[in-house]
Amino acid sequence: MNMKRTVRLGFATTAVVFSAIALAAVSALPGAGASTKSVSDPYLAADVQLSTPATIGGAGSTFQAPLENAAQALYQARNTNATINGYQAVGSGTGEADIIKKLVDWGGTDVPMAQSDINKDEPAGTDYTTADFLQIPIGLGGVAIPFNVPGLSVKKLVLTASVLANIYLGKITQWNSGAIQALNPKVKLPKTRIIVVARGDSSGTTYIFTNFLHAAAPTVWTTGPAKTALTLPPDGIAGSGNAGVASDIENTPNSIGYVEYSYVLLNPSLLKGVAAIVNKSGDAVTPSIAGISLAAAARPKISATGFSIVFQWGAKTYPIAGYTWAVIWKAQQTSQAEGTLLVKYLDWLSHSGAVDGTTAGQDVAALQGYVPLPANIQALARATLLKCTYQGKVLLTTNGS
Amino acid sequence: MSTTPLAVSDELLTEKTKVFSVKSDFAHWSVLYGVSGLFALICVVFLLSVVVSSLPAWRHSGFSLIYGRVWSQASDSFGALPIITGTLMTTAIALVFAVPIGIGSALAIVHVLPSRLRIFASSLVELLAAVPSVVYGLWGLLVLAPWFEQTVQPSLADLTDHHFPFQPPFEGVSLLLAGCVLFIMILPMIVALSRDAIAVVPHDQFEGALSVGATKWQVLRKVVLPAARTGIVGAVTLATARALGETVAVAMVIGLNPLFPHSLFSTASTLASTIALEFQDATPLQVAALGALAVILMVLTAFVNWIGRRLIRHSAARAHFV
Amino acid sequence: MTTTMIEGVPPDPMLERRELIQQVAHRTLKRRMFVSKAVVASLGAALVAALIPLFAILFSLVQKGIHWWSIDFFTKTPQFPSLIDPNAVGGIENALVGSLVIDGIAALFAVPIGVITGLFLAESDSRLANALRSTAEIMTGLPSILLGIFAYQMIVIGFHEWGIALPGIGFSGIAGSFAIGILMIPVIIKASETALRSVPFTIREAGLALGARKGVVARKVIIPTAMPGLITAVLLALSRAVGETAPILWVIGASTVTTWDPTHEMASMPLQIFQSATSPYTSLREETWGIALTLVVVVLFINLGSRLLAGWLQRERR
Repeated sequence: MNMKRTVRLGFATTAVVFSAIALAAVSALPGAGASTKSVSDPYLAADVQLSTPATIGGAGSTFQAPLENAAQALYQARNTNATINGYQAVGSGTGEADIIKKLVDWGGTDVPMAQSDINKDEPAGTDYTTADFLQIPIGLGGVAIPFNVPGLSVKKLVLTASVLANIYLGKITQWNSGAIQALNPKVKLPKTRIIVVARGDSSGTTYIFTNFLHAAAPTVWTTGPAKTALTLPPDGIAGSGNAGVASDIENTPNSIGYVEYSYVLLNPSLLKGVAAIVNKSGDAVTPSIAGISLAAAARPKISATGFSIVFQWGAKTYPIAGYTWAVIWKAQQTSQAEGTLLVKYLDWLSHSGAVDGTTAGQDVAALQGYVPLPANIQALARATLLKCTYQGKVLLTTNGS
Repeated sequence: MSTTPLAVSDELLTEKTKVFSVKSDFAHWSVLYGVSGLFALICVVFLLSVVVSSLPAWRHSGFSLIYGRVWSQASDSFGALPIITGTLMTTAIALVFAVPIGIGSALAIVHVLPSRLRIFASSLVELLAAVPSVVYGLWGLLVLAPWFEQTVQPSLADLTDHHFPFQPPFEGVSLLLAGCVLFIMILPMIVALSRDAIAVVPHDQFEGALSVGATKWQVLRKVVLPAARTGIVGAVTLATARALGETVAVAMVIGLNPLFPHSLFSTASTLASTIALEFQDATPLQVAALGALAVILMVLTAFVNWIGRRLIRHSAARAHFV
Repeated sequence: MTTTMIEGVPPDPMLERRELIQQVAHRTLKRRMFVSKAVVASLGAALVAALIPLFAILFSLVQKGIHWWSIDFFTKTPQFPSLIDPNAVGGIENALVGSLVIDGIAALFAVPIGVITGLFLAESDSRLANALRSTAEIMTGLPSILLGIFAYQMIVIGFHEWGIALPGIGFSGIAGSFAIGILMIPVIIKASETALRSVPFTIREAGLALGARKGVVARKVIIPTAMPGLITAVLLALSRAVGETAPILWVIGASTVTTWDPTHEMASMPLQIFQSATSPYTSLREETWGIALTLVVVVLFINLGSRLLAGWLQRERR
């Protein structure tokens, strides 16, 4: 009896969440009434109209993979002569390594590249600096904490950063431990062992997660944020990519892990249990489009060196949110055609509400469970892209020029 | 041109004495040597690249690469003991099941099945051997793992009352599951190759032993198996080498945790699957450490081959006295 | 004791021993037969146990995969679900074409190198040949992931050691062909050496006796005679190569479009299975069974085809 009710509740919640997202997305689409762009954006064009065929490819963060996959398909369908190779979701660390080694045209990462990253990955004999690269924000999302505890009567558990940190350090090992029970007094927690799922590869999502743990519970999580794989407690599972972690949580009872929010939305069974994290103002907030937008709004001034939006003040702010970036070379594109395609694509990707009613990248993002980039961040993206040159000339030009 | 045999061979004879013909034989051998040399060059460069790329790790960690217990990119310390243990344990689990069942099946195919079914059964086994390892991994992950987690692991844990080696938690993906997937993968190899070895034991030896009143099993044990021993040992050696180096199927079902496994139900990691997971985003020192893992793997495989050859030589020496 | 005693002849100890054996054999017959029957039954059970996984896997593949097969499945490229269309899934045309191109190019350079080296090993018995044979033996047993690393360091990022600077091609189908080709070569060498060695010596002698040069004998006599074995060797190596995932894990990139250009990033069937098995999209995860069924059918087809072809060629010869 309880199971049937739980299942029905699950369906109901999923339906509500989906329709909320769909509603938000539809209202974000141009021409649906909300925003009007009477002045058309001179840079934005759905159809790039390249004169010679060009192919570009990207690799990196799995945080942005659902966005990239959907956006590329749409962009490619509308563009003659443009081929975008499938986005390789290999993790932020590998994405950075790939762009430094010039194996791809842009590297996707949730953490802008720092000099230490460059030093780590650059080929022997080269000496690159952060000035050789441009970092463009292209997505805004959150890190959800789903859990899979069979027989739990509720769909959300309240957790704080220090409890999460202790779970990941292996100090809290049972679901019915005092710390978790104290935060959820009315819930009957089972006496089973917590199975911790974390990323086994170098991951920007891990960075955002550890950034939050360190900012919110610095006495417990003493190491600073990092992309490197966390040391698992015994019996922990290392997942490969956000997708691996999501499927590990789904298939392993009594597990808990961290994945990008859109993976939870794409895997409705993960909606069975998502943790409500206590934010800086003391509210326990489950991940939502609204919560992530509030986190972004709480810190509008973003740059490649100051980009963290975790653990912000605000009543309904979701505390584990982050931007995701595309890293490109400032002045070393392979050819005019490929460079043009690259900057035009990234420009389209980071904006919303294109000319003539067609959708742009951030509209697609909304359909995938991301929060459309705020207007000032879209402007930051464009300003950064305008610095990309090929043989001395700026690549991003207005349409018709 | 006349076409009598004598005339034709005359032409061939005279052809051989032309200067051109000497060059052509030279051409033949130069092609042979050239291409074989190319193959040898590829192999040498390949083996060298693996060894040389691992040198920085050996210099940095020395032999603690082999007996160290912590494998962590963050702290730049690379100890592969848990990973080596995981490799050996999964292979051992696979062999414990695959060797008796494999050799038994091979004996059954040759000596128990009626001859009409023999070809059918052999073909089935060889079809199984041709299935790609990624399909085994897929099936292991999506079909076996849930079954393990819901049925097999709890039942086994009840056997030892939740103590070693069947402690909870039951995660499905585990050392045991990887061992079982490996077992299913190497089984057809052992069956097919053992069957070849058993089938070539001269039938008159078999019949002769039966005719003096031995039972079938006595004949199989005392005549057929010893005679087929070389082939069977070769089969098991090959299967072991494959199990040691299997990457994809194991990576999908083992949980990829480079900690020391403390029960059969732990998640663990093997040499090949660690290389597969970590290679792409490895720091340069980690790349060298992964190269060192590759070297360890090659040494293990070579060791297994060497043991196999010793066993074969040993049985061949004994055969001299029979 | 039923020995008949002949007068004047001393008793034969061998006769006694033989009778002793007969008696023991007769006494223990029931037990021995029981043991034998029990063991034989368990051998049969072992065979059944060995075949159960085969049927289980084939059953899963067909049950979960066959409903994915459709014209769209083979002619469309992948699509990704979104919140509005959570079940969007395209096809695997890119993976099919990618596999075809990568394995085709690999075979193109692996077959000549493999067969000619096999011919060399079959023709000469020098120390060099023995060393080469051992090397091929070692290479067949190597984990294929190492070849992926080799291809990555040689082709994708280029070779930048010891003063040599070869530029890398980047992620491409060619890098995948490189890895898979090197995988195929030792397999082809071993099998073709066996096939070539099995050509009866008389045929070779006859060719030489007619005065033909060794090269001509090899080209026009030995290779055609061994052709069934050679074809089997090549096709078996190919069926193994088609299913390999580890060597191409990080060298071919990814591609959601169908491309025939090997210098581009490509997709491949086994890699697609590996990635989709843990895909975040449920519909793509389910689609993996369809891809796996396709791959298994292709591999079995090549396998069976090679046997049938070899058998047919053998018969044609007579």
